[in-house]
Amino acid sequence: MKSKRLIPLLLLICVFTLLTPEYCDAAAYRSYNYDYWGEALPTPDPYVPEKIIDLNQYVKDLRDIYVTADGNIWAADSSNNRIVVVNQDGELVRIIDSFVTESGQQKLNSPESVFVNSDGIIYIADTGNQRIVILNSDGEFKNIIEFDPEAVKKAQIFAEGFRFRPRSIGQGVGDKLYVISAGVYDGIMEFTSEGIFEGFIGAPRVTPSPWEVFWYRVATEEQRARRRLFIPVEFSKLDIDEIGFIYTTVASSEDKSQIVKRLSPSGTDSLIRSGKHPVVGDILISGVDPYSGMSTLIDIAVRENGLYSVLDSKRGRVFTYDSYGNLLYIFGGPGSHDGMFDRPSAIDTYEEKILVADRGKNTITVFKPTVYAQAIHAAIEYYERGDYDKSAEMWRQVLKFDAGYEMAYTGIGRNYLLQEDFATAMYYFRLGEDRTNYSKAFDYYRNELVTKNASKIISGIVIIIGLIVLMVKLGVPMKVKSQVSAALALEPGETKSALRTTLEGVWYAKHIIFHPFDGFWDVKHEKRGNVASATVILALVLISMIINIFNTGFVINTRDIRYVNIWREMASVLATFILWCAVNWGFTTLTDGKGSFKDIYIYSAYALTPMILILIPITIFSNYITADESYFYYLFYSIAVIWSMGLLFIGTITTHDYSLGKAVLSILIIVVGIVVVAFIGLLFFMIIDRLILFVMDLYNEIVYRV
Amino acid sequence: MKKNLLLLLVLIFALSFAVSANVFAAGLLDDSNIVAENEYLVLYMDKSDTSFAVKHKASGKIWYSNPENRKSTQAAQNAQLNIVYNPNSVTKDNYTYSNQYDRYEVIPIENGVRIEYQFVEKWTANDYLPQLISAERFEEKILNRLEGRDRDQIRSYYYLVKLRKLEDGEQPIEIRGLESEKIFKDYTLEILEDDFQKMLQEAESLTQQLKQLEAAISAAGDGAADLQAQKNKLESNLNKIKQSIAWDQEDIIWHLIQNVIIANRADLTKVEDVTFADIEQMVDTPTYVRKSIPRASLSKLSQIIESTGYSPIDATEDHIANNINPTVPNLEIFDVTIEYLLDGESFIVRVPVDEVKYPIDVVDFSGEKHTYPIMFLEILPYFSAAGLNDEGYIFVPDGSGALIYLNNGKTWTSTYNQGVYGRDFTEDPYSYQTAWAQQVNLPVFGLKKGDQAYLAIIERGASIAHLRADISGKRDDYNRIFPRFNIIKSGRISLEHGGSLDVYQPEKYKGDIIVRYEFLVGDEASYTGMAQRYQKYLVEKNVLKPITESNPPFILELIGAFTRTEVVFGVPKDVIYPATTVAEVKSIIDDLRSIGIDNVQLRYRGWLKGGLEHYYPTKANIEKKLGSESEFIDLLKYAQANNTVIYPEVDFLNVYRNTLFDGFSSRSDSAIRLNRLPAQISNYDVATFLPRIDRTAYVLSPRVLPKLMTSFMNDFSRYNSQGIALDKMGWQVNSDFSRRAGQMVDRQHATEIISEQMANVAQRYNIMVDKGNAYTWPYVSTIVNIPLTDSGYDLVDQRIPFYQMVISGYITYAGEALNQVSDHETYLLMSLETGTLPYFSLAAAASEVIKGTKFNEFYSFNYDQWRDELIDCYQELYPIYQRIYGQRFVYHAQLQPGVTISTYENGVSIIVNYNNYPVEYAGVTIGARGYYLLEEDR
Repeated sequence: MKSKRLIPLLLLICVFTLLTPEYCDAAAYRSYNYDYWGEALPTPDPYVPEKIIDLNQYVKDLRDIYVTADGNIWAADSSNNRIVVVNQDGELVRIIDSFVTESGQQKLNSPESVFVNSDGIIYIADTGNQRIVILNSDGEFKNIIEFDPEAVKKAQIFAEGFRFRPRSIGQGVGDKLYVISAGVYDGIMEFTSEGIFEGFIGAPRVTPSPWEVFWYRVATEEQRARRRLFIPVEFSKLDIDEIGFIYTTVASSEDKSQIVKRLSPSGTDSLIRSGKHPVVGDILISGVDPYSGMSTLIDIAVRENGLYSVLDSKRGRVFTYDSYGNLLYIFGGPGSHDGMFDRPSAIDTYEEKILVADRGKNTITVFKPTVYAQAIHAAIEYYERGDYDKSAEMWRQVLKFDAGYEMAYTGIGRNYLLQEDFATAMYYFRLGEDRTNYSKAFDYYRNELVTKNASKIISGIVIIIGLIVLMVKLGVPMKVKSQVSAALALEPGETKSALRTTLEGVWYAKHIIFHPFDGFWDVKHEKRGNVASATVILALVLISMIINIFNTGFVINTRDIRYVNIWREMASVLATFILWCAVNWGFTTLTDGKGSFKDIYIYSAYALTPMILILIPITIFSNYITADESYFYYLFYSIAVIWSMGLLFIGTITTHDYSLGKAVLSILIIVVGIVVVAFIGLLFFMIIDRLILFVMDLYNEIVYRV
Repeated sequence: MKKNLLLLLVLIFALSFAVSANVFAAGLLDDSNIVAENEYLVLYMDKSDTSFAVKHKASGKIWYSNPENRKSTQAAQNAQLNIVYNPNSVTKDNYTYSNQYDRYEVIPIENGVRIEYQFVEKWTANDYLPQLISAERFEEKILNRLEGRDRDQIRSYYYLVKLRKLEDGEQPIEIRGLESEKIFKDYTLEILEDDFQKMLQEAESLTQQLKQLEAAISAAGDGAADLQAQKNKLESNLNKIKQSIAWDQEDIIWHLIQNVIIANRADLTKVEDVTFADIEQMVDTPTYVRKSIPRASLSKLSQIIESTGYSPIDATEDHIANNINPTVPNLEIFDVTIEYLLDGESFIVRVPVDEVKYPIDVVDFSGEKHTYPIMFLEILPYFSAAGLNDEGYIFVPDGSGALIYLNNGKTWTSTYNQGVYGRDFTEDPYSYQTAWAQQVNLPVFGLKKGDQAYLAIIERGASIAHLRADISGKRDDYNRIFPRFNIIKSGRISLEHGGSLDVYQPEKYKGDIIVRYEFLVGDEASYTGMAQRYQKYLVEKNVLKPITESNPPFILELIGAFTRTEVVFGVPKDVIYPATTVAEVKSIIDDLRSIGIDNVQLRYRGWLKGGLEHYYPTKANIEKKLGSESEFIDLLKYAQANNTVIYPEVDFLNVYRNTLFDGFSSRSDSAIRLNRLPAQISNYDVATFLPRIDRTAYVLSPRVLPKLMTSFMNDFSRYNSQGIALDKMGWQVNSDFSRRAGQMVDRQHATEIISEQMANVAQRYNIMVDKGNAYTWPYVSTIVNIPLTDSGYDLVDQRIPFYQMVISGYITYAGEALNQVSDHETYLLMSLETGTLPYFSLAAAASEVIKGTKFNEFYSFNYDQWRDELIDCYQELYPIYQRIYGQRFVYHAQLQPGVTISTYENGVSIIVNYNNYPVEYAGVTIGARGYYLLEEDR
């Protein structure tokens, strides 16, 4: 006879409440998170449905919920015109459908939201009656906020046809009330604690583009007046944190920085968005099926340590971010299983749990955190408290559950950085795809290496310089040079082998890049270059580009090499090159250019030589630089490109025997020509594609009908 | 006054309902309705509507095929059989479309009864009375079967006519507005009605008289004034008669052409369209032409004709014989036979599918061909359906098993509808997947109401079955569950330009559908009782054999190798990464032994060439990066010596890599979809719900499986392994819809092929599978990844360990990998509740090596990281498993919310408390989120 408690798998065990209406053990949704590259990686479930509170017997259209500190859930039911309060066990606590004023009993009409402050004062968005009803904790009438239509008309701040339809209510510092009203685009409405309207906050200011500035200049006075100075957005819901900052969501906006906001009481957005992805829920889901497109964020819940969770009604998901805008975890989904939603409408938290209301099912699903989410929370908590060792310990715990969790690698790396174990820190930052911190760690690491080995490095350099000096002194280079040229010299009567011609041609590139006018002239007229050597150069350019793509240092390389197709990369460069040659030839023959197609091919290939000379060294170099020094990398890269362009230009002048002006003009025309040809080519491919589809359709119909 | 009237109305209304209710059940249990009887059961059948009842003799309890007090207006509730056919997925029930038209036959057979249903189209009274019918058939089929008034009445509504060649000198028919020449050529329409003939005769005799009179007048000369007067009178009489003959004739011809021919021909609209060809069949054939019948007498007349057995199907024949369109197309006519049998204590429903007939290429009057394939058969949709006042539950085998409480009020949910044995991956792939639910592994379902219950076992056709259940308050007032069999699978191909085409499985399902109903009463009427009964059934069928060992094995999965993209010489390349080499497997075995864990069952995944997504396994070559062949042989020997069974895993059903010369051709060896393309299976992206192109595999045709497995097993024998893990053969069954002759494999046949192959392998090896569909049970020794829960459908109320209750004591089973689940504590509590062994899926390599590969669902697998949990788990739980392993799981119940008890045949009970507070039971306190081992003294 023994009774035992299970050994806790983690030190974190939280306190839960009493028995549950319906036990859930299964989650048919798949939780995931995005990696640096934007790929969705499955993760353990951070939250699992614990119970489902079925409100169907009380509620017809569950629009909003608010959970008070005692765990009571206040639900706004707009179809039954009332507020229903249930406890955590789903038992009915009270129903508010009317209140008594001096003028008698008044009924609620389609309430869409409810909020209860810490003193128990109840704020009901009596949306159908265009007002906010304020009751004290016993349900006795306290106050009403409404808008006199006449007053509204007089005050010119309201747009034409303004109707007050409160949708979400919160209370901030100084007991100020913040209200979102449907159909109002001017921002969040701010009221004093007495219910006096003070103004709008939080509408995003316009940062006009130069084009818009220009347009504004030429516009008439009237047109200017009509232009708003802010972008019209309609906030979906708000939540307010302990220090009075207002968190809001916008259901849809083109501007990714508008979707989630954290407004200070003065109305400025102070949300930090330093995560790997914008704070918008799902990052770009393309396609045409019902589950494609951006997330529709309709509610937000602020949590401890600056965490916040947002609810996506499109795919029924809950996204949780930390205060820096890092996506911590994603769970939930659309469907007819426990923990999945039909038409999710509101989110709130209670203790560690997350509650999601569903208008379609009229249920509230209570999610509880798993050890995985608890470890993430603890890691952040310790980090906030400055206990970095414990935080790293927790991140290790997270990695044990989920080896794909990049933030954990960063967290551990940061701890190693603090402990000055730079090499290990770099290893973790690399796994965490954290380029900034990696660069930082690398900087220290390099310094450390250099300091540690300063004497060795200096002596090494001294020795090398000494050797060079010695060799020059002894005339070794001259000797080598003469021997090489002796070896290369033609025996009398010997004809040049093809290989040798090619090699000499390639070697001649050295001359061209520094003396382009002379060089290109010789290439054409003295036959110093040939097709074979040009092809070799072109091949080398392609190879150096490939090497550059796959071997650029971690700090700089932001391409996902797993999905790079070598052949496609090469083909795209080659196609552009051939197109350039072809259009060039086509145009210059018409405008009496002197170069043949062969000449154009040769000079264009030679012109690309700087790419080989610069790309390979900077690729190697890029592996030993920090983010701050990446400037040099890009500088050299630009030099390579400009140099090549310059050579192309000079090549065009020399080969075609053009004047400067004519060369500039023809290059411009050639570029336009390339675009046109590419466009026509695209068109052609599209037509071919349609044709193929048509033939396939025909074939299918024949096959399946017979 | 008004109020009283209203009350009266309500009363009348209620009364009429009361009368209409109960008319069906009344008298069903009469001895005259007994159609079969044995020592346990009696089968009663009301032959008028083929509803039946089964009575359990010992208890006197009765199970009805249809609700006892159903309303006559609700046709669906009177059905025993529904068919669903295409195009447009039309559903027809036997009551409305067969019984009501009396198109069925009840035939007594040994131990039961057989009913042959013919499903017809909707017929109206009008359809029973043919418009044109040859006299021969009219008399044979109708008139001769009638007597007296009925006969006269029918006869009175028809004209008898025939076409006759014009005699020499006879005038052709001449009617204004008719081109007689074109229509009648040199024929005339002779009206054979007695009255008309009489008139003709009279005209004839008058003509004769007239002739005589004329002769007399000419003989008499001038003095025949009175004769002349007589003649005039005669003449006027004759003219009158001639006139009425002409009128009658005109009337009848107009009626024939306008009301009969044109009205019943889709291609004719005007009189000018009618030609001789349209009436040619009447040449020298006496034919009855239907008169216009007043609407009021139509139904009476049709009833008279119905009594002769003449049906609109016959009418169709007559119409076609007479060149007119039938009033109903009568194309959509189906034959389905169902048999009800008593077999000992159980009741069996059998549908011989080879006797199912549906219209193929039937031609309608416009000459177009139609085929109406029957896609689904729904059997006993209201069997033992529970009403609003019943208490109990519906049992569904979703995952571990689940209960839907009767009348649970969740009317906002969708119907429960789940396929048995999971998805058929040869069917059209999902365009997106949003939920990852459990599958149905057991072909059973049941319903408990009050103190009686039934358990249904699908004996044949399980793999083409879907289970459908629903509660009251949605469609009607009944809670019910029934199977739906997909005898012809269909798909839709959408064409690029917008249209779409329906495509069908080339041949219908071959074989029978057999569902066995077992009846449970009293204490047995519960899900425990259902599980026990099912187990008993399986033991009798020799499917389950008791475990002889008493020491529970520790079950562990090790991941061998997988592919990763790495940069080699400056370019990215897919390379095989060894996660657990042969040597590492050995050291893990040693490590487990050092902890004290022996008796290990070790599943070795991804050991074949190519790793997790291995090459087409015609040969059993080990991945070289893991170790050499001899090392592997040594490992297997070493394991055997150390009481460890290694189950090297191979996946035959999915082909991940299609390389040249590997013996696999996607065209001839993969299963073929309905759209005639090779079937592919894909993983779905968790964020977009769309298929992942980097994780697709071909679905192997079951037809190719025997050849492939023979080849592999021959080669595999050199390792002398004790076990083999067959992974997907435990849960995947795929058809092959190939159109080449003899190549199609339906899903039931596919299960048979898989079972046969497993039987061969089982002769030499211990088999381990995933999930374990019921057909694998005779052959497997261990099932892993057994579901611990249901899928959590909104409609479902409670999860039960039905699956475990059936196989505990017979097959070793373990759950999902602990390191992959998120709620570990609940997982362990559920493992204890269900008696499921814990399971781990690990590898020697660090977990981060999986990061950035396409196998990102393995997010946690490092052995060293999980070693502590593994030890804790073993040390804490195995003493308990030692007490229950190999024992039958005989009782399970929920004691209070969140507290369950599971009892084994040796008297050991485990009480699990899922709550976050301690609870009291039988005088002991069970800790919050804890458990208690209760042993009865024996």
